[in-house]
Amino acid sequence: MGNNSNSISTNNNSIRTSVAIVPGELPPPGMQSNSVFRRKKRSSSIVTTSSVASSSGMSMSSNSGRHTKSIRPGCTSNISGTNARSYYTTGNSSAQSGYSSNASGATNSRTSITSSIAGESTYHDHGSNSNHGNKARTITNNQQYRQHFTGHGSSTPVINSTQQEAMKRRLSLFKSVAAGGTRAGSSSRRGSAFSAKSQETAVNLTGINRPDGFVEEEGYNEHEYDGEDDDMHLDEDDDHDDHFDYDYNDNDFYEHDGGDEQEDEELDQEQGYSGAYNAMLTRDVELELYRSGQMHQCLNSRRIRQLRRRQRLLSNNSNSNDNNSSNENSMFYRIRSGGCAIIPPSLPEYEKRPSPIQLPEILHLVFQFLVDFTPADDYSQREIYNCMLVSKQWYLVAQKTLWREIRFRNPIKLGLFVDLLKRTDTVECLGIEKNHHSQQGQHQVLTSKFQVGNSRHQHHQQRIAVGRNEVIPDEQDEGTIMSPGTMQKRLRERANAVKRIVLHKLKLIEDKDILPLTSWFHNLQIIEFYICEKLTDKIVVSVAENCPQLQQLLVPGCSKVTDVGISQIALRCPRMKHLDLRACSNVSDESLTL
Amino acid sequence: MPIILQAYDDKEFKVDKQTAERSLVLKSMIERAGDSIAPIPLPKLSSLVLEKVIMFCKHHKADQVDKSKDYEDILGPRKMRNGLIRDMDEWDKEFIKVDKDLLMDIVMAANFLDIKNLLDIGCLAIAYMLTGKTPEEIRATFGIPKDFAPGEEERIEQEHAWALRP
Repeated sequence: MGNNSNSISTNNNSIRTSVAIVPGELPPPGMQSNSVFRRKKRSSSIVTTSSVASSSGMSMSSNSGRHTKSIRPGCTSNISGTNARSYYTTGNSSAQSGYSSNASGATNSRTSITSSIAGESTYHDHGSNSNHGNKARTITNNQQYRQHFTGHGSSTPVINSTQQEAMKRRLSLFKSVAAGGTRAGSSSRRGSAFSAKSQETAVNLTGINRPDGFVEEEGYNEHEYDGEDDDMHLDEDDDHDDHFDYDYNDNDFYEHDGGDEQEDEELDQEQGYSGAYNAMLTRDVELELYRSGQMHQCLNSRRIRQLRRRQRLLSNNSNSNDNNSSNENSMFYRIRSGGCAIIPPSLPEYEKRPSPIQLPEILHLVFQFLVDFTPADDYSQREIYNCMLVSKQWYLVAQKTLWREIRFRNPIKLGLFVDLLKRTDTVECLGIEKNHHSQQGQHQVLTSKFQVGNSRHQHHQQRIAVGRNEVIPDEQDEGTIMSPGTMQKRLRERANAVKRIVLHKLKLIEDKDILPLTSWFHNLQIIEFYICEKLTDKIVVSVAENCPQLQQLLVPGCSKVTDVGISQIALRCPRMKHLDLRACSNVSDESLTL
Repeated sequence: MPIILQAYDDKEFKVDKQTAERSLVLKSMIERAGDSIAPIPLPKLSSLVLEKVIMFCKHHKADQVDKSKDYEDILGPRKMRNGLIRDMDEWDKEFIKVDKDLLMDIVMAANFLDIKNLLDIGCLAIAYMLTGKTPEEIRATFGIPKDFAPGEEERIEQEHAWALRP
C-alpha cells in the first residue's frame, strides 16, 4: 500500500545493544549489504521482511489512518561471551541492513524478530529457521491481529517470533523498543551508543526479581512491543499472568488475571507502561534522554498512539481512563494517570504497591494538612521540617510547603532567616559558596541575635563582610541537590513561592532587618505585621515596590506607618483586597481615598 | 439503573448512578457510555478497597459535588482546610480509621478515581500519622529509604534551622 506505510519492525531482544536502522538512511557501519543471514552460536535469528516501503515518510507513529510502521530494528542480538552476531536483513533491499553488534556482558541471548508487512496482509515467512514451532502461534496471532485491526489500519502486521530462551529480562526489551522507537525517526547512528546505555539501565532497573513462571512463553516480546508500539498488539490470552511482570516488581497493583477483554488488557498495559516509563524517567539516563529531545519524540508518538487507542476504547464502551493521556511531558503531573508508580524499581525494599506518599501531589496535600495541624500560636514549623529530612523527594516537596508561609514571632528566627537570604545574596555575587560558610555564618547570627534591638544594624553589616571573606570557590559538590549553585537557584524559586509572611509582635525589629524579605519575595500575597512598632514607611514602600501581587496588608499596631506608605501601596498594588490599619494613628483619610 | 463496578479480583459491586458519580472519573465514563450496562472494570482496585470507596461515596452521595475547595485560594488555605477538619463528621472519622496499608490504597484509589473529598480525608489521615514523628520514625513507618547523599542532610538542617525556632 502505499507510500508511506511500510516497513519493518523488528524487535528483538537481546539485551545490551540495539541499533535502529532506517532504510533509506545511511547504513551504520557494520551493515551488510546482502540479505544474508547467518547465525552464529546462540544468538541469531533473522528475519526478513518484505515490503520495504518506497521510502518516503518513515515517520513513526503519525498517520493515523494508515498503519505506518516505524522501523525499529533494534536489531540486536548479541551476546557477550560468544561474540555472536546476528544479521538482520530487510527484505527488499532498498536498505538491506544487516547489523551486527556486540555487546559485552549480556547473558541471555535470544532474538526474536517480528516482521510486519505493510500493505497486503500477507506475511512471508522467510527464514526457514525463523519459526521453530512457533509458527502456529504466529498465525493465530496474525489472525487475531487482523481482526483487531480491521477497519483500522491499512496493513496488517505480522508477528513472528522465533526462538527464544529464557526471558529473564523483559523490560530490557521494552526499553530497547522504546529506544528503538525513538531512534527510528531520528538518525540511527546517534542513537546506538545511547541505546546501549539505556538498555543497560533498563536491565538494572528491572533485573532483579524476575518471576520464573513466564519463561518461555511466547508473547513475551509482544508485551513490550505492544506497549510501545500501538500497531503491534498481540493477543496474549495465554499469559496474562505474566502480563505485568515486567513492570517493576512492586506492581501487583496492576496485576490482574486474565479473562478481560483485550482492550482492557491493553489499557492496563498501557498504564503499566506509563508507570514503568515514568519511573524510568526519573533515572538520570532517562533525564538525559529527555533533555536531548529524543524522549520527546518518543513521547509524542506515544501520545498519538494512546489517543488512537483511546478512541478505540471509547467506541467499545470499555473502561477507559482518559486522564492519562496528557501527561507526557511533565514528570510531575502524572498522578492522574491512575496510580502509576514513581517507585524507583531499584529499591526493592520499597513497599509492594505504589504508595500515595510517593506521589508529589498527594504528598503536597498531606503536608498542607500537616501544616494545618500546628496550632496557630505555634510559630515553629517543626513538623514540616521533620518531613524534609525524610528523603530527597520529601525534601523537595516539603520545602515548597514550608516556604509558602513563613511566620515569625521570635527575632532569632527572623535573624536566622534573613541571614540565610543575605548569605545567599553573597553567594550570588560570587557565584559559589564555601561549604562551611553557612555554619560559621550561623554562629555569628546566634551570637549577634541576642543583642537584638540594639545595634542590629551594625551586626548585619559585619556579618556580611565576614561572609564575603569566607567565600572561596568550591565546585566539588556541584550537581547534588545541596550544591551552592542549585541551592541559590532553589532559594530563588522558593522565595518566589512565598505567599505569606507574618511578623508577630516583633517590637524591636527595624526596617533594615526585614528589608531583605521584601526584596526577595516578589510574589507575596499576604503580609501581616502585627504590632511591629518600629516599622516605618520605608518597609511599606519597599513592599509596594517589590510585591505587585500583594492582596492583603495587615499592619495593625504599626504606628509609624503613615500616609506615604499606604499611598504607595494604593498606587502600586492593583490587587489589593484587604487592608488592616487598626491602631495606625498616622494614617489619615487622605491616603485611603486614593 | 445500577452501575456495575468490577474490582480486579472480579468481584462486582452494584451501585446507583448518583453514588458512582462521586468519582469524577466514573462520572465522565458513565456519561460517555450512555445506556451501556457493561460492568466497569477497575483493575487497579482490590475489592476491599473498592468496597470502602463505595461505602464512602454512598454516604456522601447527597453532598454538593463541588464545594470548590480550592487550596490555592489565597484567602487562607489554612482556614479552608481547618474548615474541612471541622466538617469531617463522626462518620468520616470512623471511616478513615483503617490500617496504614488500606489507607494508602484508599488514597490511591481516591486519587485514581478523582474523588476529592475522599482524597482530602485520606491525606488528612496520613498527615495525622506524620505529626510528632521524627524523620527516622517517618521513614520506618512508611518504609521510605533514606536516600540523601552524604552531607546533604546536614546542609538541609543548616539551611532550615530557622524553621525549628518558635
